[in-house]
Order: sequence, then structure tokens, then C-alpha cells
Amino acid sequence: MIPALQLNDVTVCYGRHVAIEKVTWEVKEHDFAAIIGPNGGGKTTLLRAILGLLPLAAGSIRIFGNPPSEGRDLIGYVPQFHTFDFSFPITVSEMILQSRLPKNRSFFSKYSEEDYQAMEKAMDLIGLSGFGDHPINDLSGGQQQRAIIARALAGEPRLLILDEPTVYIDAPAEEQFFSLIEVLRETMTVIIVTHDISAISGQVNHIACLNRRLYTHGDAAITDDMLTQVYGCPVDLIAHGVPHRVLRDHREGSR
Amino acid sequence: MIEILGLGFFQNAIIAGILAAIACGIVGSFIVVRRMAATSGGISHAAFGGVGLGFFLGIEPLIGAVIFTIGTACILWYLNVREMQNTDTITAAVWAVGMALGIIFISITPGYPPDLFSYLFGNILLVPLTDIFLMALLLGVILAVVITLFPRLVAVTFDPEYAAVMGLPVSALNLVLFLLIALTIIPLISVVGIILVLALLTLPAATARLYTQSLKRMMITAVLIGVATVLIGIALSYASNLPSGATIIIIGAVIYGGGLAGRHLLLP
Repeated sequence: MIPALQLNDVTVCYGRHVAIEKVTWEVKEHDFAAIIGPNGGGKTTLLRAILGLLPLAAGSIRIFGNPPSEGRDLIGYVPQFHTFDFSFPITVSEMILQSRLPKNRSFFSKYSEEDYQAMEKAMDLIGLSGFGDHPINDLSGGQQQRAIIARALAGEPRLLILDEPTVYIDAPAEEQFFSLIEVLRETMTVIIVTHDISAISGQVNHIACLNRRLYTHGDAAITDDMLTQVYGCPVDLIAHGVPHRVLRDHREGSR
Repeated sequence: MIEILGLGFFQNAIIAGILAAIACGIVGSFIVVRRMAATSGGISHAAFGGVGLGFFLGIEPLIGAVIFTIGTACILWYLNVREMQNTDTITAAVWAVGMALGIIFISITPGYPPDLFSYLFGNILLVPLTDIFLMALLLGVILAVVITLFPRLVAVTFDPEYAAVMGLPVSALNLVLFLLIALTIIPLISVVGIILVLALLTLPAATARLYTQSLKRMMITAVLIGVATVLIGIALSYASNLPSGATIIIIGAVIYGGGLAGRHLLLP
């Protein structure tokens, strides 16, 4: 089976500064994977490289076997919440339909019946049915977050990538969020990127730590060793809702 | 008052005003939500260079202005998007350089200096029929482009990074926005003049923004507010013998102020 995401020795530089170095990683289809790491560790850089927004200094990225320029049609991207200008005059349905634009070949940019169906389906799934005509500014914070996820889902992705999805939601909403991810996993692969270790749910089955280099165990274990490597100092693993994990020997991802 | 509606120049003024207001409402809405007012100011002032070039070459000054606004839009886009130059700095530069070129062209044009006042401050009551044809043509182009590209233009205005992730030609769509501003400024030069263009581009759209929550409705509302602004301005200017461009701008500001106050009264 072709992996959903395959990173081979990916290196990205800003001028002479090496942001991420020799990152090798593989995410299988229907995995729920997480990339954790400190701020400034290169998470955003790696994400932008996967999305095809940054050139690679070395290595290769494959999304279901395609380079990012082609593979990104298969990606649903949920950006960080704070990057949004929610005062922008746009309705929920207008925003969600935007993810249909790459599939829209009509010269006059008329959305097709299929586009509207995909939008309705995404809104149903995310619990926003009936909010289509509401301006995004009128939604609550939680609803706004769900609308951004619905936008990604309306593009019918096979790989969903969420950037810091739990930063702004409270505990009950977080539970809801992870049960939603559980539903989505039946039809797609999910990757979350976060600096917040406590945001990693027990359902995550594949974890990697990124701090310029990527450290991975190939399964859901986070070890003290790994955190020391990534965060540069011993970190106490106090995470809510994370079941006991077995500590294993550490190895570097690129090996 | 009614009988003047039969006068040719007055009909021209009303048609020109309506054409300009439609362009303003549509493109002005993009300018307001995208915060491109300064860029628009730079492009409109650079148009003065084109007016000067028109006089120097003996061609219609508005044609010269079209060349300059389009050229300036391309330069700003290139420096901003391609060369990553600071928008603020380059806007200020093209603003002044355009004006400077205009002055130089006019100073080397033989004969008496032409009447620049109506280009700087507008004189809608003197708009010739040829200008109206040019304005109608430009409005047609603006409408065609906006209707064709609307969802893509909205996507790139709302969330440029997401648009890039979707593989939309973000850079090219930005150029389209810059060019739309360049084309919109031309009809406005006759109506309110180069110096006052900015206010008519932003005030009706900003007023509409207070009461609308979708870009489409904002544009339609801004067009209606713009038409009202221009028509009230023309009537008042004629009745009280005040300069038309300045009167229109003051009306625009008063409507915006009223809109702001009204919103505080209507919405808790």
C-alpha cells in the first residue's frame, strides 16, 4: 500500500539557517499521527514543505506517491486558528466552498451541485448544519474552529493535516474533537501538529518529535529520552487523558 | 432644479457619477477588506504622471492616466509580491514619483500650462462624452473580471495561504486585484480628481461594511451608497455653486458618519 505521507531526508533552509534537517518519516493510510515539538522547532516549516509552499534544500516528499504540487489536492489543511481574520465579511458556506475551488473548472466559477453536496456533508459531519448563511463572525469560537475543519473536509481529502488544533478549545470540546477525528479516520489519514503534549490523545498511534531533526519510535510511545532530546531538558510527562505508555529505547528517525 | 436635468452636461455628469460609483463600490470593497487604501493612493497619485504625459504628447490625458495607473499597479505588484519589498515604502515612492513626472511633463510641454485643477480635484460637470465612453468600457472590463473570478478573488483576499495550498495562482490573482484598482481610479479622476479618489474608493465601502456580513452584499450596498453619494453631491454642488469633487467627498464622509452613528443606535 502506498503510504499517505512519505518524507525522505527532507531538509529545508532559510538562507544559511537549517530549519529542519534530514527528516525521514512515513505515515500509513488511516493512521492518526502526531508531530510534537517546541515552538521554533520547525513544525510550521515542515508543514509548509509538505503543503508545497516551501522549496526543499534536499530530500523528497511524497503524498500518496505524488510530489506536493500534485499531492496537495489530496490534503485537507486546517491552519492555526489565530491566523484567521474572523471579521472578514464572509458566510460559513462561502468559506467552506473555497476548498472546492481546485476542483472547479467552470469559467464563471459557478459551484456545481456536487460542490454544494460536499459542503452540506462536511457541515453535517461537523455539526454545523443550518449555519451556512451565518457570517463567520457570528459563530462562537468552537463553531469557528469547526467551520475551518469543515472547509478542509469539503475538499474530500484523503489526508487531513491540523496545525495546533487544540490550542483554543476547552476540555469538553477537546473530547468532542477527538471523537470527531475517530470518525474521520475511517475515511482518511489524520496528522496533527502541536507543541502541546497534553493535546495528544490516546488514539494517536504514531508520534514523532521534531526539533530540527525528527525523533520517532514508529508507534505511540513518548519517552522521557525523546522529550529530553527534543526539548533540550528533562520534561515531566504529565498529560491528561494519556494512557500509560511503555518506555522504549530511543532511536533517531533518519536512521 | 428639474429643468437642468434636460441639459446635456448635467446628464453626462449623472452618467459619469453612476459609472464611477459602481466601479468604486465593487473594487472599493476589496480595498477595504484587504486594507489596500494606501496602495490605491499610490496608484491614483501616480496617474498624475500620465495626465502630464497626455498633455505633453497631445493625447487624451485620461489615456495617459490609464497607462500610468496600470504601469504603477504592475510595478507595485512586482516589488511587493516578487521582490518582497515593504509595501508602505514603495507606495510612498510611486506616489511622489508619479506626481513629479507629471509636473516635469507639463513644464516641458510648450504653450500655456493646461488646467490641472480639474484633474487634481475633479469637475464632474465638465466631463466630455468621450470620457464617458472610456469609463463605460473600463467598468465593463471590471465587471467581467470580478464576476468571472469572484470566488477566487475572495479566497485569495480572505486567506492567501490556504489559497496557495489549494494551488490557486495567488500571485497572479493579486496582480488582478492591483489592476482592478488601476482601472477603477480612471473614472474617479473625472468625478472627484486624483487627490480625492481615495475617499470615494473607501468611504462607501466602509459604510457598507458596517451593515453587511458578506462581500457580495457589501459590494451591492457600497454601489448603492456610492450612487447616492455622487448624486447628492452633484445636486448640492450645482445648487450651492460649490466644487463638485469636494462636495461629493464631504457627502461620502457625512454618510459614513451617519452609518457609524446609526449602527450604534441600531445594534446594542
